[in-house]
Amino acid sequence: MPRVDGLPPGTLVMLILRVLAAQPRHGYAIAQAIAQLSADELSVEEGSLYPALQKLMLKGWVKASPAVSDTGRAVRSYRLTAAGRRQLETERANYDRVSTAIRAVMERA
Amino acid sequence: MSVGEWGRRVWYLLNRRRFEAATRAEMEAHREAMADPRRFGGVLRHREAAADVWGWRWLDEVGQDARFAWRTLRRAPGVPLVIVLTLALATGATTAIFGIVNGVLLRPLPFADPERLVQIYGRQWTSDRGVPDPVDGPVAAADIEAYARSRSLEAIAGYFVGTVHVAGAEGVERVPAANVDLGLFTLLGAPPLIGRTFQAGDAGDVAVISESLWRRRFAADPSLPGRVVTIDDRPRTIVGVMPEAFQFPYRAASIVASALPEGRTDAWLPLAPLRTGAGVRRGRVSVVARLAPGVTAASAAGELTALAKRRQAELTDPSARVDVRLAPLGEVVVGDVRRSLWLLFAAVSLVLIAACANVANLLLARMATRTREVVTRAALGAGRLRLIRQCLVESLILGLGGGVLGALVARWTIGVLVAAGGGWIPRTHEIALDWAAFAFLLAACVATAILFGLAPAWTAARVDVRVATGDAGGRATAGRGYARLRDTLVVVEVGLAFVLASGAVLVMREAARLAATPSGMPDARVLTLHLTPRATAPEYEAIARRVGALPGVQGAGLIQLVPLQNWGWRAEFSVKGRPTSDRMSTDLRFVTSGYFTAMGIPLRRGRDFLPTDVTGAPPVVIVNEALAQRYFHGEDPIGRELDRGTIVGVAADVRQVSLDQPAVPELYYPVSQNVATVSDVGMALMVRTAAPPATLTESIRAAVREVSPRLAIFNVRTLEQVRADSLWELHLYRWLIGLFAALALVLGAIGLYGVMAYHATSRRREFAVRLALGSAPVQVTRLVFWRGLRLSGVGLAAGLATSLAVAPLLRSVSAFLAADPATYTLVSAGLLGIAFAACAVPAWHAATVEPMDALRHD
Repeated sequence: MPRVDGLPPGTLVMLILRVLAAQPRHGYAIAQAIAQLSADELSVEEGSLYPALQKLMLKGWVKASPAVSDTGRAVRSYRLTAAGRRQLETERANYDRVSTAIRAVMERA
Repeated sequence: MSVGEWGRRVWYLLNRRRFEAATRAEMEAHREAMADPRRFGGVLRHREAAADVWGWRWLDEVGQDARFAWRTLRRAPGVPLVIVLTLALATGATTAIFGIVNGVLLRPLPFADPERLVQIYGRQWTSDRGVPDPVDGPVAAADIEAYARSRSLEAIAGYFVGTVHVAGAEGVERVPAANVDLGLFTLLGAPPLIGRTFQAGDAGDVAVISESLWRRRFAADPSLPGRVVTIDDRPRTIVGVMPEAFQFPYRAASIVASALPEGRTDAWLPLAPLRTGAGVRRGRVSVVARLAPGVTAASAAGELTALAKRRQAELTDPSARVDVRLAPLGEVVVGDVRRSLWLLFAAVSLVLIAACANVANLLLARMATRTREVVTRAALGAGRLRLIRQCLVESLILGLGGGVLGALVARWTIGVLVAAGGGWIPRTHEIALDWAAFAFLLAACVATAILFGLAPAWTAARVDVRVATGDAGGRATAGRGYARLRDTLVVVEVGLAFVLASGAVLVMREAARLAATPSGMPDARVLTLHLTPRATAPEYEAIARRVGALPGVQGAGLIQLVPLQNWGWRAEFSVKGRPTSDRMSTDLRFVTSGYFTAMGIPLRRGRDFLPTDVTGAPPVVIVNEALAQRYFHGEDPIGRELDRGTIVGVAADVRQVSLDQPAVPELYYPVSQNVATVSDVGMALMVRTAAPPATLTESIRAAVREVSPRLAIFNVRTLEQVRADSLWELHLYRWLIGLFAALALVLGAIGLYGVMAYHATSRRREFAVRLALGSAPVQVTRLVFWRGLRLSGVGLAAGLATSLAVAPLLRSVSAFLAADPATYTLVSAGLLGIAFAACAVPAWHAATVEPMDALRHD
């Protein structure tokens, strides 16, 4: 069980983009990947995951194609587009800048 | 938002069903894969959250609203149907009238820079009654030459109208034509459809024709320009074809309007160069000019007036006067119709307002019966905005439905109106149900929908749940403000009905009065036929004799201007023995001997024209009683010598100008002495018959042909038709205003009935208690009637006040539209009768309430 519920605000899109950058995944796999990679430190709420994925499709950052899940159900497999890669870089740069700044404040104040 | 994003949104909308099924499937898969599926939460809620991302939720809600509204409307279609029909009739009529107003009054003339075009009149001043009597007339050639040098004018062109006869394989056709200066087309800035217009240096043997003549006579042959066609027995080269939208001059510019019943021009020929000097026929022509850029009509008028003064000073004849008047061409073309059309538009707008009030009222009544439903929806969580939107959607469906039907009504109405007024209203060929008119219609409908849609929405939003579902058991009304709003609407409707009905009664009374006014000529069984072109005096006399001798004919004579159809020909005269500066004005008529007998116009004194009154014999004239009365004041005018001839007879007065004007002074010339003065259009033959006139048309035609085969006969009408035609404007208004008033009355009655029925229903319990406690049914009836009549009374008072307020304005349009107590009384009585009838059914229902029934019902 994850110890922390949810994610730091504003990071959901970046995390989804990042796990999709490694390989195309379907919805459940995205949530699983984020949980495992963070050693259950981070968890994605299902109620936020799907609206976020639809927003990524609307923005044109990911594309969905039909796939079959491990349990044999019809699902969508999401993969990153070129625009999605660019967006990931932007978000990562922003995140780095902000977290560096936060750390600086926390350490020097 | 990027274009790509919008594209994906639309793609989503189009593939929505498949897309959402996939979302649902992947969520199900996700839930199943979880160790504890309950942690997934509500699938439905997640799906809605996901769908919201695409931003189409409002569309769903509007769709829901529309479907819901449609179901509601279909469940009880009566009231919605009345609403849609009301809107269709009101907006349709408004659009049709607006289409006419737009085409005739608002749209600029189809010429280049039309605001710089002016009509120039030469005015002749007469001072016989001590006051100057300016008459707009044509301009003398020498004056035109003087004005052409004015710096205010960029160009000036003269013209006159008449008819020409175009020869062809199918025989000779009479065509309304205009003789124009070569520069006219350039002045107007009107390009041809094919070929060219006139150029400086063109000889007299060229012609330009209209598109409709080109299509009719020449099968729209594109190679026509350059071809030689025989016009008026003379070969002429057709150089160009003008598009259908081009019409010049407009009807108003024609002095013999009714002799050219087509009201249009189909051929243009060069005007022969005007010679200046005395005694030249056609010395005066109509004139149109283009102002120089930046010059106003007022400053141009100032300069031309100065030029006219200088011309006056050069003249030696002390009685001659030169004056000038400028008028914007747009105003001249529209003429008197302007105010009448605006009046009609005002009337139809009142109908539209009454219709809106009625529709609002009906919707409010619907809302009252649906209070419980609305309250339930509010209690179940429907937001205020959502309720308002629901009402608006319902209203918009009704408004758009009314608008679409209204467009059909407008199309049909405008066709009927153009056909009815085509000969008289100028620019009818430019009237169309165009986009401006349609936009106006849609705007009217949508505005109406919002106007009346907000009233119920406002009420719905204010409904108090506790009141509506509380003790009253759902019978609650939506409060007092709501009842007052409906009362106000009924008052407005009754008031508007009063205003329109009084207008209609005034118009109808005037029409009836004029229809009963004797013209001075017995008008049963008289046939009028126009003969063209001009013939010789012996020919005219021979036609009168020969037609008069036909079996079934009682008398025949010719006159240049048919009474009540053409207007007069103003001129001056002086009496020998009185100072020559004492010029008197009269209308001129040209007749053959036998005219007075044929028309049944008695000669009060003296004699008729005789076959001996020919050129060379002493010139004679006959005057009418009005002239004798005004200028001879009881002296015997017989034998008095005028500069126009010796008076040999006095004819009885007849109403020739119009039925609502008493006879003006008139002077009759024998055509045998004055045929040169008769216009090119020719004369009209008047035949009094013993048999029905129509049966004799063919034998009359044959008789005319025997005398002169080159004469064409056209515009054959009975004198009764001529008389009816002279009242066309009034008839048109009688029909339209009558129709509008009838609509307003029906709307008012529906509105009043609706309010009273609602009133009686909402007080059902109270009435039941009253009856149970011993009230007589008649007392309950009286309660209902009293309220209904009080509302109507307030409406009547408002209508009366409005009528009195606008009476001066109406009187300035037409004298007979003045305020009139008898009319107001009549209309009030009629409206009260209608109000009584509208209250009768609700009152009867109230009186026959079964007390137990009513009390148990709640």
